[in-house]
Amino acid sequence: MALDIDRYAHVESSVQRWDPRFKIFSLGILILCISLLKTLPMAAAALAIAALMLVVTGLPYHFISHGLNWVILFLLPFFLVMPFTYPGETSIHILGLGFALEGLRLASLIFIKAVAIVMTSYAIFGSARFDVSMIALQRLKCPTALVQMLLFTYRYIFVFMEEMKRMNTAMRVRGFVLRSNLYTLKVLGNFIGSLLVRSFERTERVYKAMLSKGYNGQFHTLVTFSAGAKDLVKAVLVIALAAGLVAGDLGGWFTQAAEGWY
Amino acid sequence: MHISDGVLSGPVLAGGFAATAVIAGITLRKMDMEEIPKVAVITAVFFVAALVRFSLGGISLHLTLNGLVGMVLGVRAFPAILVGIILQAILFGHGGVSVIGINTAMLGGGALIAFGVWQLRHFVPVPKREVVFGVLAGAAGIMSSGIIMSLAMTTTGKEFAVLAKAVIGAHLVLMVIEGAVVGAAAGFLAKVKPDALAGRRVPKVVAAPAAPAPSDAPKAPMAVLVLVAGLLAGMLSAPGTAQAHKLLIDYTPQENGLLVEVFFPDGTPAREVNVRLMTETGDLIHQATTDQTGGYLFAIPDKINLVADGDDGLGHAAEVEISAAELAPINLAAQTEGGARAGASKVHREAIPVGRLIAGFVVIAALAGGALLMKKRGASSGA
Repeated sequence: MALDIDRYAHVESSVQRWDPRFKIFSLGILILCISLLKTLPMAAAALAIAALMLVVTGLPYHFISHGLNWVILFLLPFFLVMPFTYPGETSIHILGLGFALEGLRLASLIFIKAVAIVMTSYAIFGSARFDVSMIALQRLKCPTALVQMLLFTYRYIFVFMEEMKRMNTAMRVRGFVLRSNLYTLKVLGNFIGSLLVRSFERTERVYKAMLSKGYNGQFHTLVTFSAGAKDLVKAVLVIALAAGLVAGDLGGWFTQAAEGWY
Repeated sequence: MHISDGVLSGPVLAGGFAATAVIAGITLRKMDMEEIPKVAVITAVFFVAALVRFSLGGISLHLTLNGLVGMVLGVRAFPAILVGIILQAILFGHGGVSVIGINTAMLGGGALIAFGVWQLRHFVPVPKREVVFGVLAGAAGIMSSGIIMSLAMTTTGKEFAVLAKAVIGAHLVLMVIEGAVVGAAAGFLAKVKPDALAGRRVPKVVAAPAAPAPSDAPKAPMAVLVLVAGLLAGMLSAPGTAQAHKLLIDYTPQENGLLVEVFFPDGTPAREVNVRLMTETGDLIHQATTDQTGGYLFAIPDKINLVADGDDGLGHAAEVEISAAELAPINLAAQTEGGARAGASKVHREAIPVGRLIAGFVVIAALAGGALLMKKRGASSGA
């Protein structure tokens, strides 16, 4: 599984040049506003904004489509279930089941909002190195302990993926095959247990190594930020767009969602 | 199991963020500086372990393991799961930034409940209890997450009633799988590295109760205060010296010598710990280690006042005084050392703390009742 979300952080664009603190803050507000939307036209507008933002970042399509495919897979059940389970009267019948258009509308709304939010998160985290994003989070008053844990965990995920690969090879060499039985689950449990035992030994070494390099609970970094007028303008623009979406939604410029589901 | 973006209503999302912020704030504050890298490394292990995909009965699955996180990290499981969820939302590209709060509340809450279930093992003496309670805690962890998830969905709107029921159904299956895997992992860890599992009963140091307090004082005065208060309360409430501590010691005069037994409060024998027999004034008579049943048969030089103590080498100790009068049954001439016992040894077990046990069951019953109620409500509105 590819976990390097910042693979294309080096691409040059005005989103990449944007100060990460301003970017995370304003796009975070945009995500928040998108998740509050209730009308289809406004959700579609949000999708357009998110898509536009992605085009500006210059991230290659295949990179984004990988994640989006998963989202679509997650959300497919809503299209299959919601129209048939939406409470209330139904006018259309398919295979003897009541088909509620309102349910289809709700499923579409969920789908569009989800895709727009995922696209916006690509714009946030795909456009800067992971550690830069995390330091920016810290500057935005995210607790230091949490940011440090995020950075450490991120670093060791790759170490343990390698470790797991080695253990997996060793298991297959000994003839182990995953099957649908209790034995497989037991072996899986032991596998996780021994991965943990190895990690416990590693935590001690990691901590001692850090102490010897002068770790005292502070995380030092060479990353520096400098914001200019441009950064502020971009942020104001995005927040204005987000506010516009919510205003359009609440102001009833378009048909309001049917009562009840919100 | 995850909730994806775009599904839940604003108030539910906000509630998730609020709950996560409060619980994470409390649990993060409890962490020392040195714990940050350690917890982070273990978080990475769980993150990676949850990536393992396997197929069961034709369905592709991956583990959640939030129960095991709770069992290994205790209350620190909550920030660990928060970190895991944030990283998933950022790294996978599947989205989930807007649902970080509710997903953490769901899985982290499950982990805390699993930790609670795991802790109940101290009160129920069953064979292989690490495995038994591993299964229970693993199942409780994932199931309570499923319940919180379906609650979040039904709170958003009654349109989700059917899906919420499906969520509960899916989690009933996941519960069996997670339970089996976590149970096996717990059994493995209990055998290979027992201190990897959280919530072990660490007895307070007897020999130097004052020593750790001053060094900790500047760092965590509240914790020390609670510790000291707890120690004092324990000392006041327990009549015997030995009873106040987690490692307990008892003796039985037998015909062929003095049987000294060391055990934990739940009655499990403390194997291979150092036991010493001393005179009243502290002169060492003999030193040995306990056998598989936690006992050692001492030969005594004479019927005088004695002191016996047990020490597991990790700073947990217990001692007991033996008066000369109690040594009457011992036949000084027929003594053997370390060998077979004349009589059956006593059954050691502290009274089961009924109050805590009942409280635990009430929590479980409340959870189950909540789930039932929710299912019922879902059923009536769906009909």
